[in-house]
Amino acid sequence: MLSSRAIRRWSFVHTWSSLVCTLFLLMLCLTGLPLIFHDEIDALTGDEPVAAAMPEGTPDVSLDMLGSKALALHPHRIIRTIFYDPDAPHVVKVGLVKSMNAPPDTMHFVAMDSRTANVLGEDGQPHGVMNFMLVLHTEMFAGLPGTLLLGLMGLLFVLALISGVVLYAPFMRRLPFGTVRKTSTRTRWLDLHNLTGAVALLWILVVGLSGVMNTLARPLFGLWTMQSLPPLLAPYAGQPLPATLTPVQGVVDSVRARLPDMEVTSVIFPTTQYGSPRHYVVWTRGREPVTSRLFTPVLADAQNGRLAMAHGLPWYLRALEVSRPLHFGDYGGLLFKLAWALLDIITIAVLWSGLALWFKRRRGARP
Amino acid sequence: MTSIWNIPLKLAAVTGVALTTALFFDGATDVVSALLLLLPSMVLLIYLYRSRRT
Repeated sequence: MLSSRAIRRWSFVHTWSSLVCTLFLLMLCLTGLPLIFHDEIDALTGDEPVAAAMPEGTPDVSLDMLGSKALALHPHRIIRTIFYDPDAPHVVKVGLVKSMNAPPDTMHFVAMDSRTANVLGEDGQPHGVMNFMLVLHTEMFAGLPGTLLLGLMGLLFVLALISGVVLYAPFMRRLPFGTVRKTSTRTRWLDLHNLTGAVALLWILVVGLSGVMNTLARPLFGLWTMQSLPPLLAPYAGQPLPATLTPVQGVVDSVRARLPDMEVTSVIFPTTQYGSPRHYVVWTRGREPVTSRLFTPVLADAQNGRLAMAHGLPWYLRALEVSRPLHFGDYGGLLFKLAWALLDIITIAVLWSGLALWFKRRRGARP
Repeated sequence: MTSIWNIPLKLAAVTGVALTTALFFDGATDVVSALLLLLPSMVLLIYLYRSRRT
């Protein structure tokens, strides 16, 4: 049983941890709502390239041919990445940049049919309403500082949830679950706040914590790069960077032979930005529901194609990978997304009722 | 266990089962969606029931 002093303390923690993060959380819930349905919205707006229907089993052309064709269209650029579009079968996208150290947000994409090398579309950086929502949701147009601030707000939100649960028990002890008293407007808001909060508690906690994990993605991948690359680059110390690269298709074939149970998703070309200046990084993933969330990078020497490293990511990146689907709610069908949207709306109700309670108490406290 | 925790804990258990099941089994998504949709429906029912009594 909590003493009245302890209740006051927890109440203070709950009020202020909630107040600081509420506006951010409201923004996250509102922008997250359309993002749940981004696949359906993209399909409706026709923004995504679609490969033409061809007989089953039509083989792919080599990745080198796709790369050459993209370079012919943009001769002053170099290839940064080639990836298989996860949402569009037989669509491969080639990302081009102006230099080896160009930042990722300057990348230009050429989408091609993997079987014919026909160009399906070209795009600079993503744009449009959905991209606006995504950037607002993930970094508030402030880059890494914006992302980390959102992570901090997420932590405060988790603190608000925990303190809310601690306060819930003594206040609800005398009331049956689900009671919404109509004695005053404030009591009614309080009961609705408690009811919706208790019902969606676990979902909000899971989505909140996985959201916080996602905000740490860039620093965590940076940490992994700092830990893994130096031993691989040490033998090349003092040597110039390779002038020509070994064909990328050969590297991908070697990776497929080495990891037959894995599916190749993308290749990062040698770069000083989020990669190695001397290696191709081939990203692979499993084919089962769970393993498809777990990626394994394979590093291959860009000059001779020799595989230099092929093992799973460290535990903190595994945790990040597993947390992603739990945050996005994209591992089920449309019904699943509808459930996600409904729980998101309940969270908005919890936040809004909390804010209303604070305003009402403030107004009531005024002389 | 205090009685006030009975329903919230059951709801939390349903959510937990739903979230993790779908992550591990592709075929379970329909069941999981139904479980997750059950939560808001339960809230509405409980609310309507309690409002009638109070």
